[in-house]
Amino acid sequence: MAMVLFMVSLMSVSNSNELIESDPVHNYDGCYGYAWITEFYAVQLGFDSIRAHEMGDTAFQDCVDRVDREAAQYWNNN
Amino acid sequence: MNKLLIFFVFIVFSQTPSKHIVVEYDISTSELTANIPDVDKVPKSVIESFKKSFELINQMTTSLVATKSEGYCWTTNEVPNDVSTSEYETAIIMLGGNDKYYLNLNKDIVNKYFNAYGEKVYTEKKIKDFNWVLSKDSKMIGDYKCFKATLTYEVENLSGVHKKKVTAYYTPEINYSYGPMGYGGLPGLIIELKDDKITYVVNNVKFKDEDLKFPKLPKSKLVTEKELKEMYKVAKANRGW
Repeated sequence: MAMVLFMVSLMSVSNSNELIESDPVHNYDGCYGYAWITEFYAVQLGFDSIRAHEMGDTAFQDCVDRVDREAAQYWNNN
Repeated sequence: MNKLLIFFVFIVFSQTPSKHIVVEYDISTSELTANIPDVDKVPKSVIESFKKSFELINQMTTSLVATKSEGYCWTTNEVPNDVSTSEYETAIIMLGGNDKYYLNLNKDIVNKYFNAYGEKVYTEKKIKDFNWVLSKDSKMIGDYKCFKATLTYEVENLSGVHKKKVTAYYTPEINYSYGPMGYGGLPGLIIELKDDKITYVVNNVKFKDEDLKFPKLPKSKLVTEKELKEMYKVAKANRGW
């Protein structure tokens, strides 16, 4: 009986969350590059290491928030 | 122009001995936004984002409260409703808008309180180490004859050493040796100061007759420049990119 219930639960999960090829990928991979280039630019402009580092952190967090928002929006609409 | 007029009128009616002053400075980044440099490999979107943050600095004001012996500087930077939070946060970082400064003329110290890699810290240096070069050049700002003083300082980061120039106009007629963003040590109040490409101009001076209840200084750890460099290495390694 327990086995049957487990199988049924798996089926219901796989039906609702099935990925298809056209689904966009939402991950933070691009955020590292975005944060790095932001910090790099800040350094080139002559900001001290503390401020440049903090700008990199802010850019990374901004990117993460944007990815989360886009993912939430996509899965709400699909 | 209106602000300058208000400042002028206020000053005229305020020439009685005071126990402390409260000064507010407007901030201008027009030179910075007009000449924001292109850097190879940096996408236009990042440069545009920086430009927007530089423009947002113009919405901030920085303040000073001071007696004849002590001064305290801070920046007002509440996020307006209609702007991007991250661009405004970046603007605050660019300006050092969360930094606080405490100056004590008797002890000859200026302390800068700030966040470094998640820690509340402060640095301490001597006011006389500003090494101002006084000039006979002068100009009128409002009703005050202001004299020019300059200094240079260096910012060292991963791309090398960046030399910065500071030009201040102070007036000996307001006998408070302070200015915006922790600058001080001149023989009078700094009315206008250009730090690299950011300009601070007084828009209001209030002369107060009552004793000053001095702002509470942040609880922070005293660090040296060498320790800050070590903290940077640790923060960089922990972040992993």
